[in-house]
Amino acid sequence: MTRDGFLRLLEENLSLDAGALKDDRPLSDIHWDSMGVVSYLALVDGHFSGVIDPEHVAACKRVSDLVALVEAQLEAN
Amino acid sequence: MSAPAVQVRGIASAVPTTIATVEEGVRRFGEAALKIANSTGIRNRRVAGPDMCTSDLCLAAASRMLAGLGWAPHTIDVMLMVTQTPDYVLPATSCALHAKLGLSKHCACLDVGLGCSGYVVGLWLATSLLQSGAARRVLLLAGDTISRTVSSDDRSVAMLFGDAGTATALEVGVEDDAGFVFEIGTDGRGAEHIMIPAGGFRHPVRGPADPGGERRSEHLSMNGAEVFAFTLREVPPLVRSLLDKAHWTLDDVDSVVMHQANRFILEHLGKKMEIPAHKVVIELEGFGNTSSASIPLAITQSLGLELERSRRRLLLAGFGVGLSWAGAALSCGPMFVPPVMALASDGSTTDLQRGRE
Repeated sequence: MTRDGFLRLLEENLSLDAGALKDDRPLSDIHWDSMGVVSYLALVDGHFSGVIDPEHVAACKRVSDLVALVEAQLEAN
Repeated sequence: MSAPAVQVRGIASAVPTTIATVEEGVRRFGEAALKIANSTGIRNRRVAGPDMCTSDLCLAAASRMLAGLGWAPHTIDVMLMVTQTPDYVLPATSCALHAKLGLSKHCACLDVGLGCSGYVVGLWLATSLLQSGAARRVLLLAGDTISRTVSSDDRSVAMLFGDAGTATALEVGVEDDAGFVFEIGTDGRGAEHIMIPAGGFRHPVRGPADPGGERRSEHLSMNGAEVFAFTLREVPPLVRSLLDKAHWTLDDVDSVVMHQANRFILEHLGKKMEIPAHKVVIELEGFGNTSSASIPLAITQSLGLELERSRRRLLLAGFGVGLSWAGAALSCGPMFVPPVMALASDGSTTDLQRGRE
């Protein structure tokens, strides 16, 4: 899956408008909450068969941090 | 000599008559409540008032069970009570219930302090006692009034939990196809992720817990992301292991009944494990997450008619507080499964309509 493809899926899961997630966008701008974290964990698990440590997700500040976590997960696989 | 077969003779469930609705959630939390309800699949919850305890719900279920089976109370050798919302600090709730059920002085009574995994652990204990020859009949009670532990201001949990009490009757049987297989696990490193910090002897004094003021230290707190990650890590291997031990494939399983945490989790797990959707029991909409009662309550409501008529192969998986997990593969039925009862505060009961009638 491409980087953009992943972001579009995440937008769908978070009920955001298409294109809302851009790399440098702060997560605080998109009402990132506990349901968002769970949706993100489910998305990564469903598409990349890996469980990301929630503490690492909690440390994310920007959309690019979320993408970097997925990339690290893929490398680990 | 092989261990004797164990049979489940019946499962009965009781819930309070009082209903907490999603509309009440909307009034408190606004539109966010609808978003939560759409994700969790929980619209209404049955909640106990301040005068109703877990033991009251379990008593109603157990009384119906004994009457339905025609079991005299003195024939019960062991009563196990799985709960995290006991009547008292002491004595054990099972002892407090002993006289109310008219059990004999030779009946052993003990409580098990587990929640989401507790029902399956209770089945495992009951089965072990029956197979060892220590008992010929066991009454397993599982229930919680977990809604009474939640802060009504805590959006993360306030709309999740409902209350219920259940009774399951097991005895030594003669059938060959017992098919009881268990797998139990614990990871105490995650104990803090579902916790009521105060009220025990570590922190006996109750008081404020979080800076936001949504809950106090005697309220239930849950780290949803950590619990979800734990579930993703542990439940799929649990199910695979059970299938291996039972020499089953998913085709052999009639229904998979997991702890009714919320719909989002159950659907994700079902998809991940490639379980056909029609085999995954989801019974949340009218009850909510009922902690230790959720698996037997879901069985009673969703599978009651099937189990009254025929033998079924069930795969059960409980997971949560502890953190702990427990799974069982079992063949059971026909058995006694009355409709879920609604218990009023005056002690009267009415039967609810079954889920698949």
